Amino acid sequence: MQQPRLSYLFEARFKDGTTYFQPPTDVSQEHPLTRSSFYDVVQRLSEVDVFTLRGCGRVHSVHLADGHFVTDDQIIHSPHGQLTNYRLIYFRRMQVSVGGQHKRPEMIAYFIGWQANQPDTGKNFQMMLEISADGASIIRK
Amino acid sequence: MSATFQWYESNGAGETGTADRTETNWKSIDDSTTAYSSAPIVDGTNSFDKWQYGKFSGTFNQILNGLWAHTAVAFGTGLTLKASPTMTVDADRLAYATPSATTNATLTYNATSAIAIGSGKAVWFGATGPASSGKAASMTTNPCYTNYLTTQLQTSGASANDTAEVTLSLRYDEN
Repeated sequence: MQQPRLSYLFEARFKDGTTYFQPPTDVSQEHPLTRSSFYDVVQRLSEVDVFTLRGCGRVHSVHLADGHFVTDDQIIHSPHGQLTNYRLIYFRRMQVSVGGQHKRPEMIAYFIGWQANQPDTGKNFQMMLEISADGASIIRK
Repeated sequence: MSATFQWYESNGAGETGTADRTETNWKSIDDSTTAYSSAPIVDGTNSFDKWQYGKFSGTFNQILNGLWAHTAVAFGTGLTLKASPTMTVDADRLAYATPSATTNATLTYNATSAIAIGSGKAVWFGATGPASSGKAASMTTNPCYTNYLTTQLQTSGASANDTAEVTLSLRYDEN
């Protein structure tokens, strides 16, 4: 089946100041035959400082130092107070409909966000920004 | 680009998989070629159970968060769609059985009513085929496969002629 085009491409800025740009082909530099470009980011996951989605004239970022988001210049702070060990979340949501005639997979939404822990209890928290195909964004806690 | 997705259907005693299936029609025959109009289901009987699954290949880092549901258009009176159970542990996956019109008691999920995909049953993924052990809610192995998304249309007091064309949906996340 034909694959859908990516309407948003990511940039991962690392703590050492370097930036990884997702190519439109979404192919890993390390394993170009089997892995997507996010695989390359996963190899340095703990070093990601800011993760940004750009597309459709919009910009959405998650900042992993303190868990705040910037979506079209609007800052959204984490409501969970001070947390530690922020880990990046990024995925694309796909849907395939089948029936009398199957359809090819459609990209429904992009998600960026984090998981992190409360320093004293270790309790896990998660916060994500969902960006739908029409460009609308909403926070998912 | 995204991961490459293909629908497969298994048929026959040998579990022969056919790639790139383009339809899901319940029929009174076990194959993926006969037109449904040539193999109608007599009221009071069942369709042959349909053993379909998805395969992911191409380039991806991880496939996760699978859900499956009957998402649009209601069946008519007298029609019941049964499906493989939701995945909560690896042992919930179905082992393949030669398709037949006998009521398949392993299809414990009632998918007759259309629901939102977010309320659908969990689908897991594995590295060596739809029936193989080792299914998990997320998978990095390339290629990987869903568990069997088996269905059977059961009839009792149904009207003649075609059913309404319903929509089944598979949702998954990838990165």
